[in-house]
Amino acid sequence: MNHKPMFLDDAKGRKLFAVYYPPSGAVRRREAVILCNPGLEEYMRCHWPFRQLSTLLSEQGFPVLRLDYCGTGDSSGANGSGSLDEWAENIVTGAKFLEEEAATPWISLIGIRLGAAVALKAMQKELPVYNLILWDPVLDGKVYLDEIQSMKKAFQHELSLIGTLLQRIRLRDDETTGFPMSNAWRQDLSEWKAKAMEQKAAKGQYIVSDGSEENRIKDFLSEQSSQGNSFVHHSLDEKAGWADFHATQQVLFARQAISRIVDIMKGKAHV
Amino acid sequence: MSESIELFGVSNQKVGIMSLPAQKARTCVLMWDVGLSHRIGPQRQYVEFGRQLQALGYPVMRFDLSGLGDSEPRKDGLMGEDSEVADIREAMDHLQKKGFDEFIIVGFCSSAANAHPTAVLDPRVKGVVLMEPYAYKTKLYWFHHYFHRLFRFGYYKKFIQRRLNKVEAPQYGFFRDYPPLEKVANEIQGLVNRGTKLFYLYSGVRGYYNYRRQFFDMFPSLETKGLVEVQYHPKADHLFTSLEARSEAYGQIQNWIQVQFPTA
Repeated sequence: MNHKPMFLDDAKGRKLFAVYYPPSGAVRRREAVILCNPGLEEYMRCHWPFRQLSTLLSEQGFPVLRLDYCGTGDSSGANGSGSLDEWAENIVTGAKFLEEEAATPWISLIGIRLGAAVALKAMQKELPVYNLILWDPVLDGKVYLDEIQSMKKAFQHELSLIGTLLQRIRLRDDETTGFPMSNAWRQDLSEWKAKAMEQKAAKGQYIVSDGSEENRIKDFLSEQSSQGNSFVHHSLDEKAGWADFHATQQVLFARQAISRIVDIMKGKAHV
Repeated sequence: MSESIELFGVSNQKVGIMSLPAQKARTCVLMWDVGLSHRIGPQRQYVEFGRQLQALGYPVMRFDLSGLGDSEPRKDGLMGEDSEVADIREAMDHLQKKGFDEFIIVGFCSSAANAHPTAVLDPRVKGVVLMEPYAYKTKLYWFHHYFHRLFRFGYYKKFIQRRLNKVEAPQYGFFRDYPPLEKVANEIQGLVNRGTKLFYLYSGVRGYYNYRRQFFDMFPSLETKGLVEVQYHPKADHLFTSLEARSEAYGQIQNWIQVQFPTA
């Protein structure tokens, strides 16, 4: 088995589960890659494509780290704990591991959905980021919260069909579809807005999207461009169904997106 | 939190996370992938439940079957149920070398479908928890099925809409082919005769199980010898998504484990 599961210690002494993929193949790259997971609700969908992406990138000579933030996956912490800032700090922990293990001068960050927000926040922490790839990024936390709310409504409707007339279950205000959502988290998400961040620039900055958030992405790109910060946008026609409740229980098969990201990292991608 | 990575199986190709309590124990709880999701379980249920059990003194290993999660695929040609059962038995082999000789296996839906044959084959399994396992429709099932719809005016509206638009009714839950009822009945009896303790838990998804005593009507000849407990959660969806339903369900499983397999 080429990949190595492990626990890393974060700055607060908590255990973060990670899987390290050492580089294989003939080429050795000068940047290591950290994959930034999405939020709890979308974690399960993204585990398989992130595993595929890790393997493909390591075969292209990149050292790769997949990391579970505190309160997610196999890391310590209960569901609903942590915050976007703490998750960004967890990425810094991962970067320190890679600095020692892989000894590459650069890090690249690939963040999917809320992981894109985590990647953008992690960039504020003086990491030497070479490439930044935002995959179907959550650019506005309020919109993300609205999506979670509408999925919760869809699920509540399904629950109403399950219970008998006398036995119905109502989801609480402090939960989403399967996870607790504290006021602190709600606040954290509602305050998240990619446009509002003073964005540090990586050498290469990309957005890979499924075509469903084009207006919001255009606004973001235009704002970044006005700050002299350019992104290359790859818009694919492979819909992920992020706002579809039933899709949350299905694995994400994202062949086009994975292939495009690998090409970007290899330096061969064209829009 | 004391957790460690366990690599096991041929060429250490399988990945597990072991949650060890402070005190020594003989009986270990095993959980593994549900469907295509990995060892953390649906909505990370296995992580949270495993840690609760650990705090109560039970060692727990959650692991990935071959080819799922972070485990590599098998290279010996075994596939389907044969591969899954072999994986679970290899997990037990690995843990047996660490001093555990009895196991409680927890299966959920598709993993219940491979927990059951594993328990049948392997006498090291002393306890089986099956969430959303095999279910067979009885006469009373059909009575509940139609009675439930009598007072749901929404159903009439949807029925008419579907007939007009010529579409199929949606199926809620996870449907799969079950083995023949007689085979399963005999196997459950065999487990009981062997002294294996069994806990069955069904949700409120009404596509296959819709009343409390349906299990005993499915297997009317079963002599339980006090070793079989069945719980029904009519308010819960297939994955026990709502925190209230989940807390009730796992609370019952935890209580059952504590009563049936008390720590020293």
